[in-house]
Amino acid sequence: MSPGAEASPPRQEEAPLLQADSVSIQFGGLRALTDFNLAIRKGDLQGLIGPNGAGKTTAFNVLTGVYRPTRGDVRVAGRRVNGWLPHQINHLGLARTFQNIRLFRALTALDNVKVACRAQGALHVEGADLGAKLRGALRNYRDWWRALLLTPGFMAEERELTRQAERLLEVMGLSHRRDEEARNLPYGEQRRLEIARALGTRPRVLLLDEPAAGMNTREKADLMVLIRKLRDDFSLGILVIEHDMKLVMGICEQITVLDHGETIARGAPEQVRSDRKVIEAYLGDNYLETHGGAA
Amino acid sequence: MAQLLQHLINGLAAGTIYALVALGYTMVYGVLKLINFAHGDVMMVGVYMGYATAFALGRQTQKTFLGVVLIFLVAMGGCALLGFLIERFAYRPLREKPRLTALITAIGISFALSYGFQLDIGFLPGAAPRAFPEIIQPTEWLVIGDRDVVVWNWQVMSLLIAVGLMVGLQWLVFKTRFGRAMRAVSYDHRVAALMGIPTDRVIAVTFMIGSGLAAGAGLLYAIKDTSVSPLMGLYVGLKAFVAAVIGGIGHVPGAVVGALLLGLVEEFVVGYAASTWRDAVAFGILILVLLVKPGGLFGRVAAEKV
Repeated sequence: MSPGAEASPPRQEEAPLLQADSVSIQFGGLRALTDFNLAIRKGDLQGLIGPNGAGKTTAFNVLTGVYRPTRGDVRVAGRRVNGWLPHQINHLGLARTFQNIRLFRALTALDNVKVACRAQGALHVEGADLGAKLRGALRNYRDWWRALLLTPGFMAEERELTRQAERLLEVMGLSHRRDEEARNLPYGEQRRLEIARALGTRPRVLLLDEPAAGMNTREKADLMVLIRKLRDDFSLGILVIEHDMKLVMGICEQITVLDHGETIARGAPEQVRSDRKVIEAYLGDNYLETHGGAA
Repeated sequence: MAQLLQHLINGLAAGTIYALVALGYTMVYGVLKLINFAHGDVMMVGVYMGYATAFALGRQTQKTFLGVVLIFLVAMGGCALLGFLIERFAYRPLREKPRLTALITAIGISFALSYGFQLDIGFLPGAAPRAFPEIIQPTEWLVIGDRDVVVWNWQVMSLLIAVGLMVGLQWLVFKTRFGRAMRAVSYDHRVAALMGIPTDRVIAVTFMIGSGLAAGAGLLYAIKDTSVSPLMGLYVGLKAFVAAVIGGIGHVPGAVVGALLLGLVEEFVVGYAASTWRDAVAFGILILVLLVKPGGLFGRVAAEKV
């Protein structure tokens, strides 16, 4: 049942595609995340859970470069990315979706995906140093300028991007919405469109922030199948933030539990489910006393 | 009837020039939600660049086709660079600050340019308006009847250049990768960055395009007006801003429609009423439009569907 169980041992020896090394982040006096550790490898399907305000989305924001860690390192594909800009980190192969859907609402479904798509081989990794940034800027300017001159290369690239985006829409079951504005899509489809858009950036690791929020039981079941399929078809590592325990326990091989920014538990679903600290965090300190301690 | 036609032509010619400037306001507002009050003054600097180029080319060369092309290229390229520098060093450091901070900076740059150019030191031109050289010899392109209606060659030219630039811009925004990135940044620049779009560069290029268009418009205006002065940017810029707001700021075709409307109205007021009423009517229309449609003719203020 669990594809993770069949994974061959050498997998463990590869450098993780995404790694957090005792990452802490502090806003003023508030410690939003303390000594956060994480390693995601190709084929992983991990979960990140915790009560509201536990720091899950903050963790996503640190990993993707929205916030800079106060202490500790974030590594993507083996490179330390502290201080890199979000788009540079994305180019290393890290993409995400959002808790509250953040599509480009007035763009069509196709354009939402095309915005994120890059032509094969056009993936350039910039460094954070000035020279690398300058080279990246010149490359961008050159590419955009080519569009004005209607070069054959540009036209071919446009066709390639359209094909790529159409394929992703198809994978996510959204082909029939191709030319509709994103804001007019039903809720569940908007969530899927966000995943399609994230996949457009050709990620190696995908971060899903509450992908099942607002979905009904049936849609959630479909989503579980879909997430596994994405992991296998695109050979991704996936990290999911989710409130729905059934979903997280059902698909994740490893779960990290956050509370008040601290990692209070980590392990396989069964292990985490029966962890005393986790139960306390979710149900309150009194729960165990009144219910006799059994999870 | 002939008179009406004449005014229509003049109004359209004036409107297309406003449109080119208005596009810069609207594009920058689109990506940054910033009203770049320095935009008109960037245009003015562009006209001086064209003026200097014409001067350097000399009386003969500046009138040749290649000379005119060179004048436009220098002015537009120079202004693109100026727009880039302004964005990079004045606005970008304030990106995460409250919007008013950038707005007042824009006004500051506007004044620095329009009054700085009135100085008479070094290459600065001084306060007095100067005659803009006739790089395009005015000739009658079309004459109807006994000079009832006259269409000048520069009118046709500015119409063609303006329409060409607008079509190009529309194509750029809606059909190319840069345009998609620009629209994405305009909806949500944080998400755009997380989807791999280099937002700072998209914004920089938007400024460059807007400033380049302004320089082109400024030259057409100077050719029509046969003069150039440090304060022309404030005036033309304000008019173009009004046009952009009438059309719905942030809306590309809206800016064009607003500008054409403004050009026509001004021409008709001058033609049939009194030239002193021109600005009053122009701003009166702005007030009227905002009263009826606060978002401008094409703008959207309606509550978003939740």
